[in-house]
Amino acid sequence: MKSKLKRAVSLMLAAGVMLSTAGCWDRIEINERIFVLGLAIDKFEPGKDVQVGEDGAEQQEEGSKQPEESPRNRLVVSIVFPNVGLLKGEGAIVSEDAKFAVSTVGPNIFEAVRQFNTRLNGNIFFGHVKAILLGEALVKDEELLMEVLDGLEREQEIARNVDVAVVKGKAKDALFIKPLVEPIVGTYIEKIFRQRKTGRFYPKNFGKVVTSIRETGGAVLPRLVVGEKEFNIAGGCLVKDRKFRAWLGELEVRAIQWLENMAGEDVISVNVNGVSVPFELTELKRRKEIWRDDAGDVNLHIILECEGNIEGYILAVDQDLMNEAFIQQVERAVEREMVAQCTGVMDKFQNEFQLDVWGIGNHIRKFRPEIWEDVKDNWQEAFTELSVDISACVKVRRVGVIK
Amino acid sequence: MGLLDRFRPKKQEKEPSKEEAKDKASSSLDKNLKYLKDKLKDCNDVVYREFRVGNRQQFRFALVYVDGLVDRNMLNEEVLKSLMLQTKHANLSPGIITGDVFSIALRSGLTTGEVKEEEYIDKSMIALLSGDSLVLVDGYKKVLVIGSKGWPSRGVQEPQTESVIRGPRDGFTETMRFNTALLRRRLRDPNLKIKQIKVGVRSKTDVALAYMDNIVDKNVLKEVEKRLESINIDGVLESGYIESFIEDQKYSIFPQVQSTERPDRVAASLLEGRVAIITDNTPFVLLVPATLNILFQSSEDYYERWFIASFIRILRYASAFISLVLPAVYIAITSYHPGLIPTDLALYIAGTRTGVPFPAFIEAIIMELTLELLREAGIRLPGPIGQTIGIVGGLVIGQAAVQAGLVSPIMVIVVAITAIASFAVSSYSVGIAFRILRFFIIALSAVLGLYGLVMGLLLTLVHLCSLKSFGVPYLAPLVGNTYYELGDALVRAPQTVMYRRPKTLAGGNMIRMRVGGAKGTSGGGSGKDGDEGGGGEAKAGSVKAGDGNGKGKAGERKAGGGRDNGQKSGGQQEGGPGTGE
Amino acid sequence: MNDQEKITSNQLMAIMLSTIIGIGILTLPRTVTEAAGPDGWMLVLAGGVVAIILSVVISRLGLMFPGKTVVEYSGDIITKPLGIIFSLGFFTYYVLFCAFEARVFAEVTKQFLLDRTPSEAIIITMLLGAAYLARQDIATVGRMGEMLVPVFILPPILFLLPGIPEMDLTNLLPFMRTSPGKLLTGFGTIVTSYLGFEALLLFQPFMARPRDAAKAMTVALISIILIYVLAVVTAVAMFGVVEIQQLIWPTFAVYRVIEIPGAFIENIHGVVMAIWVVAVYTTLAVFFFAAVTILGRILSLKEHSFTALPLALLIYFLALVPNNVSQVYNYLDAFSLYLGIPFGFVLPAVLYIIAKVRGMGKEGGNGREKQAKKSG
Repeated sequence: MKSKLKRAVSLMLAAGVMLSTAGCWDRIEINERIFVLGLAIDKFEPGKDVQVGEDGAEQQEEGSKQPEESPRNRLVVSIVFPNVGLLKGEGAIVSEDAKFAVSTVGPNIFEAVRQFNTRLNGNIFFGHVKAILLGEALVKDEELLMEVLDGLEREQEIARNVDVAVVKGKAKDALFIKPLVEPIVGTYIEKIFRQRKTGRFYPKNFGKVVTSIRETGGAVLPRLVVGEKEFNIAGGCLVKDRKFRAWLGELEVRAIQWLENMAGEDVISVNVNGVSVPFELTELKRRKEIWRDDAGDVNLHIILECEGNIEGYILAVDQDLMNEAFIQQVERAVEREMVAQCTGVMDKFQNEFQLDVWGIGNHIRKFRPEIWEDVKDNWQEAFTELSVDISACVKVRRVGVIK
Repeated sequence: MGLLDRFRPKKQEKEPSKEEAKDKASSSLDKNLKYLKDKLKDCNDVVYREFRVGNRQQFRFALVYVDGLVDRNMLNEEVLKSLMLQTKHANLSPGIITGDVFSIALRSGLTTGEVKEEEYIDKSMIALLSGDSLVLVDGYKKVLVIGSKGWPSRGVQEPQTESVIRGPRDGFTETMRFNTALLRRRLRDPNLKIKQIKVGVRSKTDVALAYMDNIVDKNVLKEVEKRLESINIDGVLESGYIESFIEDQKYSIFPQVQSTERPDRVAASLLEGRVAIITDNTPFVLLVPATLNILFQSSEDYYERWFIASFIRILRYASAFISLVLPAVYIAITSYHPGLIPTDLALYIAGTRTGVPFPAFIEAIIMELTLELLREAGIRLPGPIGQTIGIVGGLVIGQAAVQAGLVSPIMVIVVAITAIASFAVSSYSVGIAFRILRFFIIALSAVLGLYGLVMGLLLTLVHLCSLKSFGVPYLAPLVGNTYYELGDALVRAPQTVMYRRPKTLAGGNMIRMRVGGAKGTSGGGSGKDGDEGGGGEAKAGSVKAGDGNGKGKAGERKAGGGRDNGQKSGGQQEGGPGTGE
Repeated sequence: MNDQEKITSNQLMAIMLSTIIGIGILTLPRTVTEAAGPDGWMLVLAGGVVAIILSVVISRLGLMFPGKTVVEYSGDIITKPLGIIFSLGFFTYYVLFCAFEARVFAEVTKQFLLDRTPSEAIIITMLLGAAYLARQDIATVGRMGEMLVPVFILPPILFLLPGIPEMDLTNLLPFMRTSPGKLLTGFGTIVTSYLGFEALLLFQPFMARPRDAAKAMTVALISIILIYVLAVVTAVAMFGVVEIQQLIWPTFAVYRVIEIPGAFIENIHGVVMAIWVVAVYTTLAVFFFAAVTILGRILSLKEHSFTALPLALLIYFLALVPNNVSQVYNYLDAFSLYLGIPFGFVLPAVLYIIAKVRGMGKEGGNGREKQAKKSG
């Protein structure tokens, strides 16, 4: 029908005109975007913070303004992004650095980011952020920390599964160094986090941190220490009651992970016959048993079932690792060591921190709801009084290729 | 020439329309000749040969033919010679009136194969112009029309637009009769009906409808005939004209009629119950009804092994889809949603696009248009040069553009993959439709990103869903109660699985082959397909003789091959209840 | 009406599947968990069962008046003027539902896909696209459903697989400790998610075999129940009962966290969003189609497709009424309470009861009356 054709054509024209004149609102060319790979947030401490330029050097030129103390300057936000032109660009004029890092102050993250827009030549894009670093001072400030965490979670562009770490000192410093092994800082951090070969830090991504804070009142975050040309991510930082509580050592963090049924592959060194025998832990399974004893107290028994390999002994002629007695010796030694470490950590959390960071309460709520009814109103106290017993059951599977 | 004239309806002109004026032939030879010479004034290729017949040369005859259209040898030998020489010896007594002479000439004088009597002189003239020859007898009011067609024509060659690796290489030619012959060669079944009509007021083009009488869906057949008869245009020069007149929805970019040059394809389609429209003067035969799925098929799918054929089919569909959306996806992702691709890839693309002056979708449009230009140019250039120029030109231009910094290398790769993927679509008309559609989708995704892309695809899908070809939904068998036919849609199931005909196309006999692969008992039937046997003969195990093209041997009449809306198949008996499948 | 091509029961199933699954599924895990804790999925189950029962009721109602849609037979049941009022109400219900779908769609799209694009543009394009489908006949709608159902059901389910290691099914414990009272009050939350089945009131006479309606609806609804339960279970398993109540659109958040390492598309939430656009489109278009059909029949129009564009304009303005995303959901809750429950759940049943009591229709209820007449 003619009228149908006319109508269709006029509709198409109208739509075409409308769409083309109004413009493509969200179109940002990919080379105009700044792909932030690492985000560092610090608390602004006047006098201690210096305006930093793009090359990481402190600006000492005359007339350069140092940020003043004012109610608006509360956070220092730093970002690092790669120099994509260097990657592949031909016909464009690019600088030599592999990455750029910039930093600014502001009342909250988002305004700080807008300030970046006055200095940078692209559109900041958080879709590929690999790591969020929180400075020590920030974590110690309860209000600021909660603001920052909420802002990060609410923002859709930053994925929930980015890695988080607390930096000893200023988070900003981490972004400004020029690492030896991997020039782009964000990727460097990401790759460290993805290592499976260590249980020395607690790889928590942002979503899990926030969930943990909501569910248990606290969380353990990995700790990052900045060196001159490299990082070190080990140990942890405990955040309780919405702010920093303590630093945790590497072994402590490892034990915490065991108790949470998360084992990174790691080596436990035990002393057998005067020799430091490394035992490589490959599998770990944690079981929990909860019951009320006759006195009406709630008891918790945590059993760690592990498997692993013996990695070394001494080079001797007459030795034979492949005999049951020796293996059992090693197994017992490892068990003792593990129980000791775990018990130490559990004591600390029960008595010193009074925080159920493993979500034992959750477990009780799910599996023993009748017990939960009694303790749920005062779980923190009840947790302190929980009678905990930890035991380990270790099995050695392999001993390498020599006897 | 007034190209648009044929689209305007015929108004007050006193043109002879399809109803021809009834001019009868007169019994006077001179009057007839005068009529012809008047009508055919200034047609110098018409030859008038008067001669005398009879032992005393008492009867005047005239032979009229168009030089170039006729087989002159045959005329000389069979018409002139037999009439002039042989009848000399015939005993024609003087009292014989010319009517008898006529019959004698008709029955024993002319030794040609095809002879007809014609009462109307103007119809004879049309026959004359079609390549027949006229023998006029003085004193008798009918004209003898002798079939003497013999014009120059191209021999049977491999069709250039549809070549296969495995399969027959004969293709249709421009002569309708040869084409029907190629069909007959493949389907030696009396049920293969070939009905001829003339379409086009001035061109009077012969158009033949071919179908298998006991398989075809009679509704479709009726509809086809109806639409063909309603064509009222002065000239039908190619089947494309017919196609545009009989389509359901002329404004869609998708073709609803299939055209092919391959006789094996036509034969296979007829066995599925479709109707073929063979047009004189063009090797492209139309097949209806046509669905999108059919347009994606290639005859090779049936000659190769089923597993390979299935894989290739899926590849074909995937390629078509890729060729449709790839540039749009690239634009959407790089301009709108770089968060969706892995970081390394995003950084790499950003790096390669540094310094490129155009936004992504301008890049895409430029490259696509360039490619379209190259494609068109390649078609016009002769022979192998054309193909090479297309590909090499594309590569060279792409490389040069990258080096000049005008486009990014990723864009060139995207466009190249798109082009290659679009070649996988076997039907040219569908390919064109996709090419146009691609621009539309690029435009939408350039404005609204991924959402625009999805919207474009949805709108296209709505359009496809609303299309029908002679009552068959365009997207069959993916839609509707046609699970069985899916075996021939995205994949190609083995022959033993597809032993029934597609319900959406066929209307009659629904069984192709007896599962179990046994050859039909050759002694059993007389080769006829069990038309006989009225009511209760539901299991008349008659044999369908003849080679199909590998589609099956024995056919067993099965009751209940009816369709959902309770159509009876072709008037033949349906012994059992017509339950839909 | 009767020369339209008919839809098969598979097509009805597809239409229902694509219509009912729309915007509700995004917030469903959160709303049911807010109402009933880890037992939220049971609410989903309950809602589905109710919907199935009501669908069967509606199908019986429709069989009593073969060839007529509710617009026509409502007049038969409750007198013509009341019938017209009912149909107008039904029409309004669908128009408003379209507006909500369009607005929520725009909100979510702006949040996740197109930040700076004005909502107006998103809504207009969606409405125009839906109008294009609403102008077609029901067979086209059925075919669209058939084509699209695999598209928006299979990939999201498949994409959940890489996320399974992250999920902790124990989050769904403790089992069955929610009080029934809480379950009842929570019922209102899932109402919106099942709305759409009442469209059977309109579509039944278009079926080739209307008797199959009940079976088709049941199968469709069972599938929907399974999908919804899956969505709720995976979201709760992924985030836990506490966190999930903070996420506005948990269904998407699930895909935000799932990664397919090494694949071409690492973050699949974009793909899932694109697929969800399809689901919303089908919902919106079918409701739009329903509204157009109802209007056409009330006004006894011969060719009613031209009302689509004006209606699109109306829906556009309605969609822009709420001021922010919070108001949108508040209005939506009110809508489901005052219009959704009546038109979807209550009124069809009421119509059925009245019709049976009056012994109407071809089959006269269970045929008891007829048998009584025969034997009497």
